[in-house]
Amino acid sequence: MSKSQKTIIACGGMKAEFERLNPADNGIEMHYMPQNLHRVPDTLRKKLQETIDRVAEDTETIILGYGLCCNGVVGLKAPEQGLIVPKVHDCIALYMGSTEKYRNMFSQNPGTYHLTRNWMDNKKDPLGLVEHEYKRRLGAEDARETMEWEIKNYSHISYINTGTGRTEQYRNRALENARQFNKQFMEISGDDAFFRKIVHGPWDKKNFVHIKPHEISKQEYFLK
Amino acid sequence: MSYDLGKITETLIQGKVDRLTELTQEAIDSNAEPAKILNEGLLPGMDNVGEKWKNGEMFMPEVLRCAKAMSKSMDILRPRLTEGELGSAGTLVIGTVAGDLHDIGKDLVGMMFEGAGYKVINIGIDQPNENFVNAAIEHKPDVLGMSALLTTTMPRMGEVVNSLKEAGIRDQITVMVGGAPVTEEYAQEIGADLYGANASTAVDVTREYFAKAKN
Ligand code: B12
Repeated sequence: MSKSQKTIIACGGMKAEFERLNPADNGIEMHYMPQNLHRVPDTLRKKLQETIDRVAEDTETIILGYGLCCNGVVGLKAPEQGLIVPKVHDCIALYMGSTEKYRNMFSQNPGTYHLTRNWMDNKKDPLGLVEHEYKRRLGAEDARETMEWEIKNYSHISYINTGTGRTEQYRNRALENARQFNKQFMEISGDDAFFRKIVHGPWDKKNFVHIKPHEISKQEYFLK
Repeated sequence: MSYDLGKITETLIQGKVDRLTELTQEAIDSNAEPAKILNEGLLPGMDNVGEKWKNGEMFMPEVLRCAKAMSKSMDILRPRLTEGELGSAGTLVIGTVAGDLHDIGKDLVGMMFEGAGYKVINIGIDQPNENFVNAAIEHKPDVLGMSALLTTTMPRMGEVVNSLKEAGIRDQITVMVGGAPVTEEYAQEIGADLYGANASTAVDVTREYFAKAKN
C-alpha cells in the first residue's frame, strides 16, 4: 500500500465541517478523536501522541485538527515528518474562520456562550446538559438550578452557523436556550476558511505552528 | 447537641447544599469553633473534590454542587470567623482577568485562603487590568491573585505585573497566578512570584514563600 500524502487527526466535534470539504476525495486520511477530550488535557495529549505515532508510519504530512485546547497539544513530540498545528486557542476560532474574528467577537462580548451544531447534536448545550446529564446526576430539581448558576455570568448565547446540517433547527434550539436561561441571542456566521486551510494548505506560519521533527510542542508557540 | 466534622466533609463531597448548611449551623450551635469547622470539615472536602475533578473522576455538575455547598456554608461561617482569624495571616485580593468569566476555581481559592486565616477581597470576574492595580493600591494586600481559564486571556496577567511595576508598587506585593491553562513556567515567564496548581497548593506555596522570606 502506498503512503497517503496527508493525514489529519481532528477532534470528532468538527467532523461535519471537515467532511463537507470531501477530504477523502482529495486523498486525505481523516482520523477523528472522541470529542470532549479537552476536558482532560492530559488524556488528550496521551491519546493524540498515540495516534500521531501510529499514523506516522503511513503518511507524509500530519496536520492536527486541534488548537492549543487548554494545553492538550503542549508536550506532543513531533514524528519524523514534523507536525503542523493550527495556531488557534480552541475550536471556536476554527468555526469562525480566523483568529482575528474570534478575538474581535471576544473583546466585544466576553460574556458569550457559543453554541455550534455539534454541541447541540451532542446535547452539550445548556438545555441538553440539564436534560441528559445534570438530571441524571443531580436529580431534576437541582439540575436546572445548577446550570443557571453555572452560566450566571453570561449575557449572551450565540449560535455559530457553519451552514452544515439543519440550520433552522439549530437556530431554534439556541434561541430556546437563550430564552429559557434569560440570555440575549446572537447569531454568528461561521466561515470555513480555516477548515479549508487545514485540508488544502497553505499552512502559513501566521496561522499554523510547525513543530520540527522530534521536537516537543510548547505553549509559547501558540501565544506569540 | 453534638457535631461531626467528618460528616461535614462527607456531605460537602456529596454536594448536598441544604444538608451541609444544616450541619454547619448545628456545629456552630454546638459551640464548634468556626475556624475548626472550616479547616477540619470543609477544606479537606474541597481538597478531595479538586483532586477528583483533576483526575476526571468527578464531573462539572457535581463540582458545581460542591462549590455551591461550600459557598453557602462559608456564608454562615464568615461573620463568625472573628476579625482576628480572618486577616491574621494577611490579605488576599483575587479576581479573574479581563475577558474571562470563569469563577469557580477562583472562588475556591478565595475560600481556601479564608480557611488559612486571610482576609479575602474578591474583586470578581472580567476585571480590567487597572482594577487589579487599583485594588492593590487601595487594599495593600500581601498577595494579589489572578485567575485565567482561557489561553486567550492569560496574557492579561503579565500585563498587570507590568502595570504594578509602572505604578511603583510591584515589590510591595506578592503576585500569584493560577487557572487550568497556567503553568509554573508561564508564571515565571510573566514575572509572577507564585503559581498555584490548585486551591490547596496555592495556600501551601504562599505559606512556604512567606516563611522563607522571614528567615
Ligand atoms: C466550567 C467551564 C465553563 C463554564 C464556566 C462557569 C463558571 N461560572 O465559571 C461555562 C460553561 C460558562 C464556560 C464558558 C466558556 N468556556 Co469554559 N470551561 C469550563 C471548564 C469545563 C471547567 C472550569 C472549572 O470551573 N473547573 C473547576 C475548577 C475547580 O477548576 P479550575 O477553574 O481549574 O481552578 C482550579 C485551579 O486552576 C486553580 N486556580 C484557578 N484560579 C486560580 C487563581 C490563583 C491565583 C491560583 C493560585 C490558583 C487558581 O485552583 C482552582 C481550584 O483547585 C473548563 C475545562 C477545564 N479543563 O478547565 C472549560 C474551558 C476553560 N472553557 C473554555 C472555553 C473555550 C469557554 C468558552 C469560550 C466556551 C464557549 N462555548 O463559549 C466560554 C468562555 C467565556 C468567557 N469569556 O470566559 C476552554 C478554554 C480554551 C482556551 N481558549 O483556553 C476550556 C479549557 C474548555 C475547552 N473547550 O477546551 N466554561
